[in-house]
Amino acid sequence: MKTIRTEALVIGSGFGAAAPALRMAESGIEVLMIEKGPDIKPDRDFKQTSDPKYLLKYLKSTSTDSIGFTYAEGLGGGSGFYEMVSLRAPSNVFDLTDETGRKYWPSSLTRSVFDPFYDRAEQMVNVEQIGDDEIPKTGVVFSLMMKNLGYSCDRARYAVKGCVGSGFCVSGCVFGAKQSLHMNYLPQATAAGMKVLTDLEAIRIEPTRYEEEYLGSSRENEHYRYAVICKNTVSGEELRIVAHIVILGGGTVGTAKTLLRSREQMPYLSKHVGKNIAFNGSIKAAAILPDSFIDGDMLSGRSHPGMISYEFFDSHGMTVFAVKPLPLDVASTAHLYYEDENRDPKTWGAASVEVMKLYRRRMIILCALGLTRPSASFVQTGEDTFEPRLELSDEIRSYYKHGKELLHSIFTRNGCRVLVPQFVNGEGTEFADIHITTTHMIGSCRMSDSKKHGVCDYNGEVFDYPGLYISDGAAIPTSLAVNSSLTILANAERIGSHLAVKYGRRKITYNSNLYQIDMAK
Amino acid sequence: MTRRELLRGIGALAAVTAAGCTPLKFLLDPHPSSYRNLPDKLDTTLRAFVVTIIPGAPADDPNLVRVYSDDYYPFTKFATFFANDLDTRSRRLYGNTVFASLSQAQREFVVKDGLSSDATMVKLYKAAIYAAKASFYGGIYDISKGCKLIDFQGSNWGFSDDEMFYPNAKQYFARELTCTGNYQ
Repeated sequence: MKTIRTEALVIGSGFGAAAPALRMAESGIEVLMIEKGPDIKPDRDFKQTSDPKYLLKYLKSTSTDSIGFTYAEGLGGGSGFYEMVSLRAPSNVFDLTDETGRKYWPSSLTRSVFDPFYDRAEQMVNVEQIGDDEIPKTGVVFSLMMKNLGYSCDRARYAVKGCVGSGFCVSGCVFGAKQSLHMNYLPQATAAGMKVLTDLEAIRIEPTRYEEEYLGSSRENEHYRYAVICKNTVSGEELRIVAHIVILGGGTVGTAKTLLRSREQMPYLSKHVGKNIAFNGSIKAAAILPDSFIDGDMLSGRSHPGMISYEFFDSHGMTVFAVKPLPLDVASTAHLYYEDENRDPKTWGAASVEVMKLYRRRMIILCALGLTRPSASFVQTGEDTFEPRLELSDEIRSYYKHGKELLHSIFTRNGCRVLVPQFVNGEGTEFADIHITTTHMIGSCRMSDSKKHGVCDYNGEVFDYPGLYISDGAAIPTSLAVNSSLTILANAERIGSHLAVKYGRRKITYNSNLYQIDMAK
Repeated sequence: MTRRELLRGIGALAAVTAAGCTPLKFLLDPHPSSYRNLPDKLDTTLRAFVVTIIPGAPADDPNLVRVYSDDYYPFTKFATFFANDLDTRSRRLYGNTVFASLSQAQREFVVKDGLSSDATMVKLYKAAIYAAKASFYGGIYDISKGCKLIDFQGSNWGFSDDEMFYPNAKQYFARELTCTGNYQ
């Protein structure tokens, strides 16, 4: 098997990987990044399409009866395909506790610790609050619904510059407006010397103590080295990468897979690998607007409608916003029919077509994200087979019942006619019970104050495996009640800054809670 | 094949059959002779099926039933069996008339009949309905055309301000809790 040696290996290329890669490369560390999915050049590869063959090349999912995770595989990870919503997690999120009163997050991590790193992440991906005059019509409709009920609604924040509003954000922006990692972190890291290999999956990690495998300078207290066994996803060829520092940044699913496959070689890994996954409690509900209401538009303008309501965050632990799914997303996710529909059939035929004809301008779909406990898991079921699991506890059932009632209440008090979204699997068969699908799964290898409760520490370093770090969504311990990308990126910036200080060759200064790298040194 | 292997094979088949009341014919011959090598007949029946599921869908849309013959999707290998089943039910219910020759109401009745049969057939019918809706509304084979029935314009170079925004939208806004969009 061919062996490549590098000082730092970064596994993954998305929000959790790109920041540490850049900060290490900037600080003079030799960095190699590997990505399981294909290379992506936005101007070459992104398309406006609903063709599943294209979408499924990059967007993957894993699902069982109660829960399904969707994630991206390709250079830049999810940054090419998300809706650009970039919000900070509310302060209370960092104080969440488990049933025993223990804080989920490491005790010294708070929003104020995160804020400087949120600042830096926002600068890097050009996050700005949407302007009054840029709110898509569906967002205006949502805000009006909230206004009618005396509730608040805020303009959200996005990583975008020069949006033309084509509405195809999630198939990759062909206009170069979305500030995906291809526009900032990745080229900057490459310019700083980082090398990238795509179509290469990290299969497992093997700690090695052979000093001769390491070509860097000798350092004190650095006894562990890692050999990462990789497989080319196109040719099947195996490759061994030996590194002094390994950063796991392949996402909640990818990082859990790599560590679960490494258990035999890494017997001291925490028992929490693959567990405690938070899923942001996504609840969706749909309705048709009354005639008195202004039109929305599901298709014009950016994919996210621009507005979010924090009205219920303190009372319910939920945020609420409208969504603008493309027709394929609607048709492939659920059968929609009126709650009071008497016709048979409801889910196809004339009744179904009538609803779909109203989809563009008269349908409103609301989504609530909430602070559901980190109770899902990702389990290895065979040599290379994994599946997500979630027990639908009374607490989860109650959360979904009350969340749905809240959304329906917003609809009915605005005079809307409520629709039933009968969610279906990939074969068109209805789920028998609650089925949660999320792109916000986080925490499969969470950080914690001790190995008893988590997999890695405050700095993302895996307990009992010095030099092995987790910097992606897998490390985030709780639901956030907002889109997770900015928090993952800010945490990755925080860990990246720590790595630059600890291992970098250029002088690092510390200023206002934020590590500053002095590039002149 | 040893006797043990043979028994195991039959046992597995019997288990599947018992579990889903699966017609043995379906397992053994997914391509019935009535449709074998008759692509036009298959096309006609499947088009009739899609316009039954989506009344108003243009029956002459070149991409209307493409999803059923696209090797990317697993339904392809069951398409002829499915079309034959539609005809079989039609003949049983409407005196030897094939599915494509029935009225919309009659075709709906045939599809409902399929959806109320055994578990395997229900799964097949639901998959066929799912494929029709996702493919048609999503415009998956020609994004430049979108889907006129639901006013989906498909691919585009962006929209005008009038199409995307309301002038003076602020009049519709609820009060804001934050100055920045981030909740403290």
